[in-house]
Amino acid sequence: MRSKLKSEDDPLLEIKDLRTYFYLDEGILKAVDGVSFKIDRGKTLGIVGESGCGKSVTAQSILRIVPSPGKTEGEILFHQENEKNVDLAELDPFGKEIRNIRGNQITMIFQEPMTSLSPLHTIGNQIMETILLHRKLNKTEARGLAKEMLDKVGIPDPSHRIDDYPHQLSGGLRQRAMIAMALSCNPSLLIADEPTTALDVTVQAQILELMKDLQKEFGMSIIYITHNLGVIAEISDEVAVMYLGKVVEYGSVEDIFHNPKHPYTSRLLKSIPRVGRKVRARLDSIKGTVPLPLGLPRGCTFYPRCPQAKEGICNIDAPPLIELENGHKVECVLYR
Amino acid sequence: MKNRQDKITAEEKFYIATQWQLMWRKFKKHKLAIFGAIVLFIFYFVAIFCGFFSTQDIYKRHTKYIHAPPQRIHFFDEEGFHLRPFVYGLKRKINPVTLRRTYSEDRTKKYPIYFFIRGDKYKLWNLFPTDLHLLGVKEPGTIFLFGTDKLGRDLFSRNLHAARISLSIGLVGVALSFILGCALGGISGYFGGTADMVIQRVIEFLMSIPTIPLWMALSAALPPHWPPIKVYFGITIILSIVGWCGLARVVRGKLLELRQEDFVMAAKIIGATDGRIITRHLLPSFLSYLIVNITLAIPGMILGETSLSFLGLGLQPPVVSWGVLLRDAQNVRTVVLHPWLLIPGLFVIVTVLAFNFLGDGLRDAADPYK
Amino acid sequence: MPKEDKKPLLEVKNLKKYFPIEKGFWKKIVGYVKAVDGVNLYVPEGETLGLVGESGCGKTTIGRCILRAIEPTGGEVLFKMGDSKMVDITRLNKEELRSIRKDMQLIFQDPYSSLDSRMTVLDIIGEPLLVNKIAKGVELRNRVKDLVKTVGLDVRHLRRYPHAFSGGQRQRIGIARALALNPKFIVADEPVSALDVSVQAQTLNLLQDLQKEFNLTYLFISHDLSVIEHISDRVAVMYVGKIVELAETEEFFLNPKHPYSEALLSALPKPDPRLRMERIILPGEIADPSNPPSGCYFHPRCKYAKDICKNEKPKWGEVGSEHWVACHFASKLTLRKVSG
Repeated sequence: MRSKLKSEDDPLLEIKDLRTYFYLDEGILKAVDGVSFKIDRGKTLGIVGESGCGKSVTAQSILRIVPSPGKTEGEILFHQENEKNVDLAELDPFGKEIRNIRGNQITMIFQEPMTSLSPLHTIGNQIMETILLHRKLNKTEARGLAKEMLDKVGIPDPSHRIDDYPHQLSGGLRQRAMIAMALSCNPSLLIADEPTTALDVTVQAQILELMKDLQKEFGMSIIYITHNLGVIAEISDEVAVMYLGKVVEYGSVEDIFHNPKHPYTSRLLKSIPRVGRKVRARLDSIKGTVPLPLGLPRGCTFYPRCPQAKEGICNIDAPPLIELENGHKVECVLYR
Repeated sequence: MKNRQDKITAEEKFYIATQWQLMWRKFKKHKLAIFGAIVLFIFYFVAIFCGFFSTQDIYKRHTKYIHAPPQRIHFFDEEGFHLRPFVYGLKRKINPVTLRRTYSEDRTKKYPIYFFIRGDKYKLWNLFPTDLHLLGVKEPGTIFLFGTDKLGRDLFSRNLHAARISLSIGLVGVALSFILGCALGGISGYFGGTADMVIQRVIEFLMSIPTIPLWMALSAALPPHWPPIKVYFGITIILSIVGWCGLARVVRGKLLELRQEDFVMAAKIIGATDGRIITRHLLPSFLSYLIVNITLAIPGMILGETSLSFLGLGLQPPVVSWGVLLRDAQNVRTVVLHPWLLIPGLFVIVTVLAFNFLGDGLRDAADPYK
Repeated sequence: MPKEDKKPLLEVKNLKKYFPIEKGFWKKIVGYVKAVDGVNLYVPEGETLGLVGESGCGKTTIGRCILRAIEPTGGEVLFKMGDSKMVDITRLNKEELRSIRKDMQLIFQDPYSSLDSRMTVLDIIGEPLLVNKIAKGVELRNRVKDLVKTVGLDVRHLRRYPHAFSGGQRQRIGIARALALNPKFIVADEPVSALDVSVQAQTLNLLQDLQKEFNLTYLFISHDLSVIEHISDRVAVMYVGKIVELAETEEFFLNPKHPYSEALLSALPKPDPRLRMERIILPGEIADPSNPPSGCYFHPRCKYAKDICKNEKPKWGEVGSEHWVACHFASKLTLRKVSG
């Protein structure tokens, strides 16, 4: 098992100025437009944002599985243990190197496990396939490990369930099977793209708890992508708030939720209904809707919806990236 | 600033574009489909005015020119280029041993081709007597662009007339299938229950019968003394008996899918009648899919007619269709000696391909909201 | 069931909806999915009843049965017609139903499939007026313009088709359509679940404003307890086809009486890292409504379950002022309330 010693500054993955553009007939869709962040070993980074903010494309860019006609540029530095660092952005997306990392050192789980699990094979076979591909084990050993993994993710009666097909499992158990598959090669980074969005609250609570426990046991880092602020508050150490392809604010979970700086973050936090607030006043909503990231005007992308926007500044220049204390960063002129 | 204004109106145009406009936008991008559409347009146009486009009467026998090969159109002779194209006459030689006729160009006889020439009389759409042809040569010249058949009839003209029958049989057949398919598929999908069950079983039964023997049995049942026009409709009905099954399934499937859509329930809740729901909501939603399926069903009909006639069970001479023409090319010997008899087959292939290209493009455009 | 002073607009008694499970070639009925199984609830005029539950618990089916968009298997749905008369909707014929539906409307969850993409905004919002022969021509256009303004859309966009709008705007079109007939009662079936977080708040505010303006009564169906708390006067919790708890909102959140309500409240992730706490993690998953457990349907997941829970169905009883629970130990348990 990987050493659980963590120094203060021990990044696993550093992303610098990541850009993923889709070249469409209608124009250039800037799904991810200059994103930078890093994630430390054994920590959880939450990426939160609404539809079209580019959070899923960011994850796809890291794994180099962006569908065409998307193109990825920038730096994705992956600090491998006992090996030299690789820039994932430089690798051939169909090459051997990235395939060695994908599904092995970096794995991913999705919102709907049914679409990422093959309906034609038992979950056991699918987990074994991953294991056999990346680890030097024989079939019996792989099956044993698969069973062990199913047990670890809390699937009852694993020696029987291992021969089930995905459709025989409920939504929650399928997601658990996905997690078992993702962790079977002991990855150093797990990317979770809205893994609990399709699940019920009580099942979501189970899965979140499970992921926290597994992180303690396996020591992997997690990138957790969701639109649900409650889940982000629950699971993350650091949070990146994304809006229209940009990280508008980045900081510790405490800073983001109790000291939000960017108008988008603070307004978003005010706009959600909270249990236990007792006052049934109107919600502080953000005006307008999220535009398509296609042919965006100059300046700050949040400008048309921002209550603190300054005309002549915000709609002219792209906002600067301001570093506040404790690694808290915000892209907004208000803090210049 | 003006540029910006233009952009807004372009966007607004997109926003107020109807379903059909959006489909057209999508369809235009499908180059192969556009190509197919153009080919089909030309074919149908020529077929509609086949009397005008053909060079002579299709029953006129040139007994001196049995199995004559296609005559080539020339622009050059020993004197050089001529603006007016011409054909050379044919010289016939009979091999005294095999009695086989061979033809060669007779360079001494030159027949210039004239446009909008008066020639054999015909009735346009069986209504208007006229003798105007697009092109032709003056007597005593001959012009056989696709050669002649075993009775010395001009195959170019016969092919054009055959196109009229073969292409229209697809449309008429599909129209019949469409009515049957919509009615039965609609009942099946909208009302469900026992009706659905019975119709589905009937469809399964019909689809499980091998088509060629079924067609053969049915067309054998057509009375032999029927006039050609009755046989024509008899054949279309036979073809649609199997053809409607596929369409009925599409209609039923689409209806079942659409019935689950929230907007149908919304219409029900605001008090819309069943009739309104069907005509205003369901029909427009699956009309585009129907068009796609119809387009893809036509080539099946054309092929069906061709096979039946080829086997001698469909249309009978003197009616000409591509299948009837292909009957002359049934044995290897004729094919080797007179390959031009296969030209109708080429037309069938091109037509079927063009329909498939077109259908493909339509299918991509059928749901412009995805 | 309700108190005298609060006149209910809608009262549902012992509502049942069973979907048959068919098998084999002859579609023999081998069992039933009891999607709604003996539900009692009431909604006072001008109030919002929040109906909360997890997927497959039957909350959507209740909403549709009340509107008779699907036919209930049994029970009564009493709706106040005119001033005082309560009419049982389940017994109306087609014509009577059409006239009463002007008073009750539905807002859908999915803003995409609920609008016919082949109709313009004008046609969509105007359709209720047209089919009920209330207005046509210029008058229809004017009425639609008013509605469009009411829900906060731009009147210049009447000629546009739905594909021109974002999810939130489409939901507003759906709301305008529901309002067109001046209904008294609206079933809002997860109206904000499919929307972006920043747009949810706008839509919730709009629904509240409309309620005040037109004195609407809502049945608000959602799986999200925080939304339910925000918008509802009363909360009903549903589990596998049955209502397990019904109470006024504040009472419910401060004093939940059913173990399932407690677990739901605890499982809800709260947008505040300081509130991370030991959750009550329910084991297992929602019971299968075609093959529910014996006794109390919740007993296999309930940590307070005793033998009686396995054998006997709990009774629906009042434990406090207008606080109804179906649990054998409702008055004996001390449950965790919401924190925050």
